[in-house]
Amino acid sequence: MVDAGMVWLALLFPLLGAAALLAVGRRLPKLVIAGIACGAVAASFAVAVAAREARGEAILGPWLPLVQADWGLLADPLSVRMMLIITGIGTLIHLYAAVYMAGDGGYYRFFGYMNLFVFFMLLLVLANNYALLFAGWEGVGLASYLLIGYYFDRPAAGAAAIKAFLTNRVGDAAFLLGMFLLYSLTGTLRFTALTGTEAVPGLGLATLLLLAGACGKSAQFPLHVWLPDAMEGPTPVSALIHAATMVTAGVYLLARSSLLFALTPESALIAAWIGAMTAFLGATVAVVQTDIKRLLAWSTVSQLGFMFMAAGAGAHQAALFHLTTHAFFKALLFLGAGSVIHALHGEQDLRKMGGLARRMPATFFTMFVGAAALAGVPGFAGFFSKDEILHALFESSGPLFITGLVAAILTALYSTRLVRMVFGGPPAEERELHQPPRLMTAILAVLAGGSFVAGWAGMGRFHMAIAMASVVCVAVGWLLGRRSLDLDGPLYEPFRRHWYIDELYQRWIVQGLARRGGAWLSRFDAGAVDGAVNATGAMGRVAGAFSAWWDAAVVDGIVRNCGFLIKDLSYPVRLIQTGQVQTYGIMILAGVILLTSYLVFGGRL
Amino acid sequence: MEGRLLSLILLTPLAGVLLLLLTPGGNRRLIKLMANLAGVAGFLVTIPLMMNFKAGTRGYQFTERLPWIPSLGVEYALGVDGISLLLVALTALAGALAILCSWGAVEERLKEFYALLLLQQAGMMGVFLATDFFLFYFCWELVLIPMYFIIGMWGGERRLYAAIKFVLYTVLGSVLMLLGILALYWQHFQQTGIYSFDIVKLMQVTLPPGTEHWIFWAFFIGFAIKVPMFPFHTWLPDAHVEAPTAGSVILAAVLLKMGTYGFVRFSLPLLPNASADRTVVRVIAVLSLIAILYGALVSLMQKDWKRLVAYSSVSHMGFCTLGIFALNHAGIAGSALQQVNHGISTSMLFLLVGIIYERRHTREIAQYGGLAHAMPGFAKVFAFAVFSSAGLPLLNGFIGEFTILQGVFAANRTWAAFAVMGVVLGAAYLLWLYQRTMLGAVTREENRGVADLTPREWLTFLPLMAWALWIGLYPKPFFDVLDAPVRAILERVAVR
Repeated sequence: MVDAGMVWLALLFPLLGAAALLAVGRRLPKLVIAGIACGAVAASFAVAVAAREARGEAILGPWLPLVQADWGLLADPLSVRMMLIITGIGTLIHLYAAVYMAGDGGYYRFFGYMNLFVFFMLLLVLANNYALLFAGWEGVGLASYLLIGYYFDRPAAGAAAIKAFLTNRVGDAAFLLGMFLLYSLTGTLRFTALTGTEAVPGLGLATLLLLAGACGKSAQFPLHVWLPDAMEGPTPVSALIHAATMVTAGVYLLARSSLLFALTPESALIAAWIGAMTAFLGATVAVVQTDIKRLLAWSTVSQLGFMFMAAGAGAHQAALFHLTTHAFFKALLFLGAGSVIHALHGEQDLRKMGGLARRMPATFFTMFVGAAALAGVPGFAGFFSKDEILHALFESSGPLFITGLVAAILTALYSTRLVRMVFGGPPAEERELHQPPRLMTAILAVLAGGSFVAGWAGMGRFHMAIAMASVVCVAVGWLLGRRSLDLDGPLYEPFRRHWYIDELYQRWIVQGLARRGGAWLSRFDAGAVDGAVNATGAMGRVAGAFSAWWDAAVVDGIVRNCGFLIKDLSYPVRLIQTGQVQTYGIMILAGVILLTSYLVFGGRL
Repeated sequence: MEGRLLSLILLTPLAGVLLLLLTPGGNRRLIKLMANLAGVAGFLVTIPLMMNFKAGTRGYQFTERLPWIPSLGVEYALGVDGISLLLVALTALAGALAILCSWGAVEERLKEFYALLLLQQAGMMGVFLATDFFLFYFCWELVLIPMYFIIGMWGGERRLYAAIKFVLYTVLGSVLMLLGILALYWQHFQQTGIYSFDIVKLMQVTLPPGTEHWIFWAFFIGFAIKVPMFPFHTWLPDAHVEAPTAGSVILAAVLLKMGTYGFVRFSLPLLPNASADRTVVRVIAVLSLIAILYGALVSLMQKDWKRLVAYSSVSHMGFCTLGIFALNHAGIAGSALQQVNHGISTSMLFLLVGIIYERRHTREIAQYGGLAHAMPGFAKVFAFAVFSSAGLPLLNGFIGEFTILQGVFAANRTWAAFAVMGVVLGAAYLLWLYQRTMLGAVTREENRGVADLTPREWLTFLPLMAWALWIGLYPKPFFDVLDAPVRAILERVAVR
């Protein structure tokens, strides 16, 4: 057993792994790299298992003294549960990636970033205060940026990485303001100290700002646009970061702040409606996707919407239940998709797949389990967690419940479509398959087991009426999914274009505000601001030139003219300056005579 | 030595100048070695200061006092408090690194170049150590002259334009500041009958409100040009782009801080009523916010790598001035720390541009792309610098920005809401720069064989990276050091 004081060990292993790999990994053989990376996460998992009963806080040292935020870790049921999911699923995905990424040149870099991600994710869920949580929060954003842009040769990967980071930063900016507001209202950012908070004016705004932060990380409307693009990263990254763990950080934040949201029901309601919109929006777009990973990404957006709906309705346990089952079945679906893509030599287009059921039976079987869990087929994990969410929605508000049902129908629809297009029918193209290595399939099997068991294990009270409704939804979705595969009609145009949101942002924010605004301001800076400086300088030069002229012509002119005047006046005098001694002698003589005459006769004249 | 430690710190670079003058001119290697020796010595002598400085003590420490021009009351008076301590440390490190980074970059008139750098370092130390206003002004102006020559003689194509613009602009500010200083000096004489430039003594002057305001604005122009605040910033991109790397590093790391230091050290405590005046605060806050957002947006659209970094300084320094005029503990302490952070991050960014310019002789962003292939080490350091500058938690920039924003939020929520947008834009221009230069496929043959960082270049980055991590992970010692001086300032400036 590990108590709260030792939980930091879980953070230590992936941190050391990341440091070692990024510092010297380039020179290590692949087996050693994989060993370090998987070993580090597995060791964390071992700590997490040993610490599953740990409760309490551990302060490691001071961090931000002005908000009294420490390097403090908190072990409670919520953080321990998250820790188990992150390290458990993380270990499986690391193992899968060890095989999946074997042919890649940047192996050490990949695993260095992955371990770094696990470190920050654990910091996020274990932090005992909002500020340190935020450090993990931005840290996973960094790891996500690095991994989305992992294939940095591809311009699309770089663009997607920036888009993800910046969209998240918008949410994070709100999160920061929320923290400051919370601190100014309560005088603390420490979770255990916030339990006694009362509903003070301004708390609603604080929770709304935190909600905005959660929307960024968990890809909720209107900040959901980055997640589908994030699929540019390697598939294990999509499974770990963009399905099972990081994107659930927003749900975690809502659960962590559940007391605050309970005090501010308006904010909670907004969270629920954001979740509802996102669940619907994500599902509609997922229905028309033709790229296997993007379909799963939009599905993740939608499923996160379900979790937000539940959290907003106050059913945090239901949200966390769905978070857990989703971590299993969505990681499974992504890794299964990875196996399919691997088998088809990098093909991701669903229209070019088909007929794989017989040729890849193990993958088919496991992915079928995953899709069934996602769709909510009775008995599979998603059925139970979705049931609890729908029940919570039913209790809280009719419109929310209806939206949940519609999204559930759509979920079943695209899940059916996914399985049919990949595995059903005749193959679209005949080609040789790259059979997945046994380890990869074994991991799929483990996750498939999880996608089945997690539901039964976490099941709370069963709601018969809700279950019936959701079975009807699955059936309807399944029928719709079987019938039409042709979704090219104009009706689906808004779905295909993601409800125009991306285009809107691109036009107004990226092109309009940033590019055109920046360009205009640059011209303004060079023309007006610097122009004024240069004009002042030019005026100085004009003044200088004028002074120079004035000085040369007028001031010096007077001086020179004085000189000329004297010269001119002295002309007659010059006539007698002959230089001849004789002349001077005569003049001296004349002078003497004149002077003498004056002295002698002067008095009398 | 204890009693004369600050003089030692001040005079070590000058001893270096002497050492260089005595070095035979023909031996280039020896000159470089001597210069580096002087730079490292200049850093090492600050270590006893760091070790023996007592955080939490009020007032100046390690004070020294000698009469200089007794008839005018001018003294050679030195002292440090927490705010100047951090800037002294930054100056010592930046000075040593500026010398180190010039090893391969400067090959003409070596002796003069290094002598000027060292002379400038002495001047900068004087600015942060002086507790006599006259000595301060003397050093303030002393800094200007070497920089004029460094830009004007070792700079790029438009170096003369940039150097003259820099000097004229700054001198304009300095002259106004000098008027302010003399007005204070004169007021003090009238009230006490004693001639003195001592900062502590000048604080006892009671000024008529009108006088206090105009002195404030005179100081403001002098400091605002130096920071530089919008709209006085346009000398900065020109000076940065034309200056050699060492010059850019010193400019960004230290010279700009002289402006913010001026606000904290002089404007606030000497002119507390004007500094806390609602209108004054509002004007400065708005100018700072403009600097943050405007600097970031202009930065976004720059085509020149170095110019982009220069504009990012305008944005980042906007946070510093905004924090100061939040007039609360978090704002001022955050600002003092962020000055160091900006010095660390922006030095790294300028060192990086300098390295790539040495290899490829162009700063145009469009000429690059995919450099990470040829220069993985460079790409890593650059990423570190980008995230340090963009304020990623657990690195230095975050600690400063977070604390400033905390203070600003407490002062005025609307300002905080605007300032926080700068955090988003800051990531935007830096990441976009990184993407365009480092990532993607190699599109130009010239970028294929570019050499990665040499051990000497690594050596310039390691201390900066270590410091960035230290502040990011464990900033408490820095806040402890700042606590007493910030409290002292706040006791003078009560918000009204």
